[in-house]
Amino acid sequence: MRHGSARLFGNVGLPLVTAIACVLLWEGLSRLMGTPEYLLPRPSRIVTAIVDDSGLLLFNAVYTLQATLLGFGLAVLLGVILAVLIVQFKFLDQTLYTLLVSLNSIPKVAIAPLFIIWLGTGLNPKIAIAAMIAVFAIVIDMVHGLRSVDPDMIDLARSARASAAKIIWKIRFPHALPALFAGMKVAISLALIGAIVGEFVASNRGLGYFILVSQGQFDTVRMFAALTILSTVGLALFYAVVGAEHLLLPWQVARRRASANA
Amino acid sequence: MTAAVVEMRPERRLSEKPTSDHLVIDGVCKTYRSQRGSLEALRDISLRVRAGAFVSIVGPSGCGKTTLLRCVAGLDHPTAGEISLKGSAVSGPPDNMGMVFQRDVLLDWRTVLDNVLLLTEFRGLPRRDWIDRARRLLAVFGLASFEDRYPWELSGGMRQRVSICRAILDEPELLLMDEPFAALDAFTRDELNLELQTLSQRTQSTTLFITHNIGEAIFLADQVVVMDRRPGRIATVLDVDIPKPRALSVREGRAFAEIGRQVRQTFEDLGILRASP
Ligand SMILES: Nc1ncnc2c1ncn2[C@@H]1O[C@H](COP(=O)(O)OP(=O)(O)OP(=O)(O)O)[C@@H](O)[C@H]1O
Ligand SMILES: [Mg+2]
Repeated sequence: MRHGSARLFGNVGLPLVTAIACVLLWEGLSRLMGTPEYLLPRPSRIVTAIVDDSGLLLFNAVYTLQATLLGFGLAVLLGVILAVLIVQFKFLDQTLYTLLVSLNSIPKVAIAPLFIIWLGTGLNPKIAIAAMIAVFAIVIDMVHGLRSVDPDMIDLARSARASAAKIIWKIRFPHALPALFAGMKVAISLALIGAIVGEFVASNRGLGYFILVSQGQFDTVRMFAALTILSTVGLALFYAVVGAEHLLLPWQVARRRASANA
Repeated sequence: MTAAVVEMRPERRLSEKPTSDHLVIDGVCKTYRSQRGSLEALRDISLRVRAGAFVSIVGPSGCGKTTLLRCVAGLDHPTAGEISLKGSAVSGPPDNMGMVFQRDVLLDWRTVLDNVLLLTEFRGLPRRDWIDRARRLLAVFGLASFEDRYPWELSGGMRQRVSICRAILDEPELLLMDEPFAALDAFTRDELNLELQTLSQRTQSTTLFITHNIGEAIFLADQVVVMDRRPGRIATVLDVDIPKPRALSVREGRAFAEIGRQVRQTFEDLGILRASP
C-alpha cells in the first residue's frame, strides 16, 4: 500500500507539483515585470477567460473531440487490418508497407487542404485528416508487434496443426497488443493534431477555429484559454489510452512494473 | 480428429503383427545452410522406436538433439533420409503429437489453466471436455493453486511443468520432450520423473525424451540413445531391461549401475567425458 501511494506520487504528484510551480512562477514574473496582456497573459487572467467563455469553449471542444475520436477510431481499425494483411502477405509487405514507411516521412499536414476539396468543409474532412496522420503510427507499431513473436511459439502452434487464422488470432494478435497500445498512445495525440489542422484549413467550429478567430481579433487571452482547454483534452485522451491499457493488458502492466523495480 | 483416429485403426492393427515400429528414422542427415556457410548438424541417424516405447536421448550440447526432435515433429525437414510414423512419411506435424520445448513457451496473456488448454483450442476441441482433465493434471504436477495465475508469476520450474501439462493433456500417441526437467532442482526432478513414468505407463505414448542427466535418462527409458558430438551421430543404443514401474531405489541397483557405466564408458571412448582416474 505504501509502495502504491509512493509510486502514484512519483507518476502523478511530482509532475503536477512541477507544473503548479511553473504556473506560479509565470504569474509572479509577469506581475513583477508587467508584461502586456496581448503578448503573454497571466495565468489568473486565462482562468477568468475560461470561466467567462466556458459555454463557447465547451461547444467547440466537443466538436474537436468528436473529430479526434472518430479519426482515431478509424486509424486504429484501418491500421490493424492493414498490419495483419502486411504480415500475412509477403507481396503487401514489399509493396504497401515499404510505401507506407516512406510516406510516413513526408509532412502529411501539407496534404490536408486536399481533403477539404475532396470531402467538403464539414466534420468528415477533419476525421479523415486525423485518421491519415494517426494511421502510420498504428500500422508501423502493429506490424512490429505481430512480427516479434517468439518463433518457438509459432512452432508450438504448428505442432498442434493450428490454422493460419488461429495463429494470427490466438498468438500473433494478443502478442502484438502491447505494441498496438504503444502505437495508440502516439496516434491519439496525432489524431488531435490532425483535427486541429483540419479546422485551421477550413472550418466554422472547433477549438482550432476558435484559436484562429481569436488571433484575428488579437485576443491573446482567449487564444490561451483555448490552448489550455486543448492541452487538457490532449492529456485526457492520452491518459484514457493508458487507462485502457491497464484494464485490458494487466499482464503487460505488471511485467513492465516488475522490470522497472528490478 | 475423431475421424482420423477411426481411420487409423485398421492400419494400426495390421502393423502391430510384423513390426510394431511407431517411429522409423532412416538415414537422416541435416545440414543448416546460411550465408555464413553450412553447418552439418546430423549425420546418418537411423533409429526404430516401437509403439509405446520410452526412448531417452543423451549427448553433449550442440550435438543436434533438438534438431532431431524438430525433424521428427515435422517442424523441420531433413536434408537427406526419411522419417516415418506408423508407416507414412513425415512431411509436417502429425496429428496427435505433444511437444515440450527446451524453453517453456507459455503465453503471457493466458492464465496457467488457459495455457494448458491452448492446444485443444488449436485442434478445435471443445474446452469444457478438457477443463477437468487439465485441472487434474495441474494438481498432479503440484500447480493446483496456480491455475488462475499468469506465467510471469511462476518460477522457472513451475513454468516448465505447465508446458509439460499442456503437451500431455490429450494423451498424445507421440510425445517429444526436449530437456523438460533441466531447470528443476534434484528433488522436484525425482518427483516429476515418477509422475512422468506413471503417466506414460498409462497413456502408452511413444516418447522421445532428451536430457543431459544420465540417471534420469536411464530411469525413465526402455532404451537410451547415446549421441556423439557434432555432426550428431548415434554412438550406441542401450536397452534398459528393468521392469516398470520402477521405484526411485532402482537407481541404486546393479542393473542400473551397469547401464550407467556403459553410457559413461561410451562418452569416455568418444572423448566427451574424461576417463575417471
Ligand atoms: N536454425 C538453425 N540454423 C543454423 N544452425 C542451427 C540451427 N539450429 C541449430 N543449429 C546448429 O545445429 C547444431 C545442433 O543444434 P541443436 O540445437 O540441435 O543442439 P542440441 O543437441 O539440442 O544442444 P543443447 O543440448 O545445447 O540443446 C548446433 O551447432 C547449432 O548451432
Ligand atoms: Mg537442444
